[in-house]
Amino acid sequence: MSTAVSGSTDVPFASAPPRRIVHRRTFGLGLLLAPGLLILTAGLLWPCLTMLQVSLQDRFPDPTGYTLDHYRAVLTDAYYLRIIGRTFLLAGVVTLLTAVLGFPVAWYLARSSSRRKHLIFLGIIAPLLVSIIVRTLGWTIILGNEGLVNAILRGLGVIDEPLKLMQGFWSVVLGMVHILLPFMILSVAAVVGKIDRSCLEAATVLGADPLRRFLKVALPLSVQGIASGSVIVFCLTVGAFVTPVMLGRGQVSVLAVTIHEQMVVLVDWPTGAAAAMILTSGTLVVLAAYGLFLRRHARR
Amino acid sequence: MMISSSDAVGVDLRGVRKWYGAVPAVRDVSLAIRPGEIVSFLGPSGCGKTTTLRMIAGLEHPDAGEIRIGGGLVNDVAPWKRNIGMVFQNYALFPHMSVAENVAFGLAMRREGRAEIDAKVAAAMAQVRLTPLADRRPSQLSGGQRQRVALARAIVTRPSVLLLDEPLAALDRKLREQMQVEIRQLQREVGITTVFVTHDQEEALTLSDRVVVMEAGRVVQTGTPAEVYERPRSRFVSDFIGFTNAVAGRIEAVEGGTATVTMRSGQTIRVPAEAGLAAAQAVDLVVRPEKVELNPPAEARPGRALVSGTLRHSVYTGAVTYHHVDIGAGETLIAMASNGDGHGEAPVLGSPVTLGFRPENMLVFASAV
Repeated sequence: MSTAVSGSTDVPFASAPPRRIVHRRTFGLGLLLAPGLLILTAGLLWPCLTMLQVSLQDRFPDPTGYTLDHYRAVLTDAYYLRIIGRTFLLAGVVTLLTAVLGFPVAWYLARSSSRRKHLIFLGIIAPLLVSIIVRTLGWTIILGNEGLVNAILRGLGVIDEPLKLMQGFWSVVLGMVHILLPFMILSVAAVVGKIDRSCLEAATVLGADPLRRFLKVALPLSVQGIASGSVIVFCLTVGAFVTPVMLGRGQVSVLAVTIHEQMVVLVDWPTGAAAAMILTSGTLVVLAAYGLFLRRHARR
Repeated sequence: MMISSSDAVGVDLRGVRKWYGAVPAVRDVSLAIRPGEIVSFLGPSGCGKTTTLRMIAGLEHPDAGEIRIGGGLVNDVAPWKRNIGMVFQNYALFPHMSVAENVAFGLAMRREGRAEIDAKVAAAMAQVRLTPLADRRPSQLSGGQRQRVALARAIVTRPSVLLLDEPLAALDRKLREQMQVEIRQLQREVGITTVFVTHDQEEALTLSDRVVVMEAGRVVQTGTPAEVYERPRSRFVSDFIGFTNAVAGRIEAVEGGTATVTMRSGQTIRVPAEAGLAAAQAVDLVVRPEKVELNPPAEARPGRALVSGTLRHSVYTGAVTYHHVDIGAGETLIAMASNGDGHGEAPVLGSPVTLGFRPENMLVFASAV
């Protein structure tokens, strides 16, 4: 700290500010971070640890000891394994489809100077304002036995009996893609909007036709956005509950639904908790692998 | 191995026009760029110079006219098929690729073999002294290094034409001067037909064989740097290139190739008459400060045009000093004096002085109004 009280040429704060101010600043910063950290800890870490504990107890309530039996039960049960497989397949397919369908929209949204893009932006945001249940119900109206699609096909005389559009894996995929597309579009658009136009022009002048310009320049520069969008979509699909139940009509069991049944209907908390832990760690493994792949890909 | 191009080609523009909606960006540009020549498009922003360059590259499509590269019409040739090298204002390096990968990109797009690409990339990187930086990312380079990567990437494919869009605008002054020399040397080595866009008159004069001065979408003058500087064809060109030093006047008489002009202050000078000037016409008189001598010695005065005035202030800039002289009626002429050995003491401010210059160095333009 400046000791030259009389020195008129001495510039205060030229280097580091006095220590007391630094302390006050860190304290203020801590105060700002505290509520968020508190909610994260209370709402995420604590329940997770509790769930981990329950999954390892031999029974709940009134445990007498710890065991890995529940994990063994879930992981050796063909029924459970099918559901786990289906859940991750659903998440993978939905992520892929939102990326493929969302990219062009995100590109247009972020890079067009057209006035219409505000309307499109509104169209992407608007569904987020409507509850998931309402949107899913919308699909049941379209896809149901007495729904729009069947009515049209019957009216045209294409079919006599209503098509069973409502109970398959793909109707759940359709619903999930519809619900999660905005997240993908907004994530990708945030990154795509920052791509320097002259980079794309440089590729063109250097001899890249539009396809190769896309593959060699545009896509690699968009990877960060696709990655963050994929993480969001994948996680939301893996944990989805409402849409699989409503559009799957009980035919498409996913892990979140099964965990709920295990705990609430069968009141088997430890097995449900073990399944939940498997879901969570499985998701983390997939995301980590995905992150590694992207990092290596972006390096090339 | 050196990257060089023995078969340079010319670029021809004929009646090229481009509108953005209802706004004309380029109106009727015709220009023949010779093989191996380095030409600059010089003008203020919005004069159409960058749009013209982008039309040569194929990044913009002309609304009318013809663009020929090496004699072949390229209006409808896709930009990725034109074999052009281009350096963008912000360099436009690919941030996700290393320096070497950036330089190799154009060769990879031409589907050349791995070994061939490696050899050519190494040669181009050596040519711009980048070899030790091959594995760096563009974000790890300084401005001058990025500039050189962009240059290497543009020339490694042996393009038929090299286009530079304000290539030095983002560099600081020292680096800019150094890069001017490097670009010029590289262009000589490679022998490639080069077009660059700039709004910096000094850069245009330093770097080009010919300068194309543009204004409001049109070419207003084409010539060597000396021609556009010494014999600007309009007031606009004289103002844009070099120091503005102009006073208003009126032509009294034109006879035998000599015009007698009265300045607003009432002083009269006799200058060579340009074609198209007539008596009673209002004109602007323009003279470069370095052509004007302050208090010329008596033996240098015969044959000179002389104007008298009062020294108002002297601006010392190091190598030279600019003397601002009030010649009456609120008009000022500036004389430049070298601060080299043997120059006399500057006169006291407020003292009466005489300005002398050769009549042929006074340019006479019809007034705009």
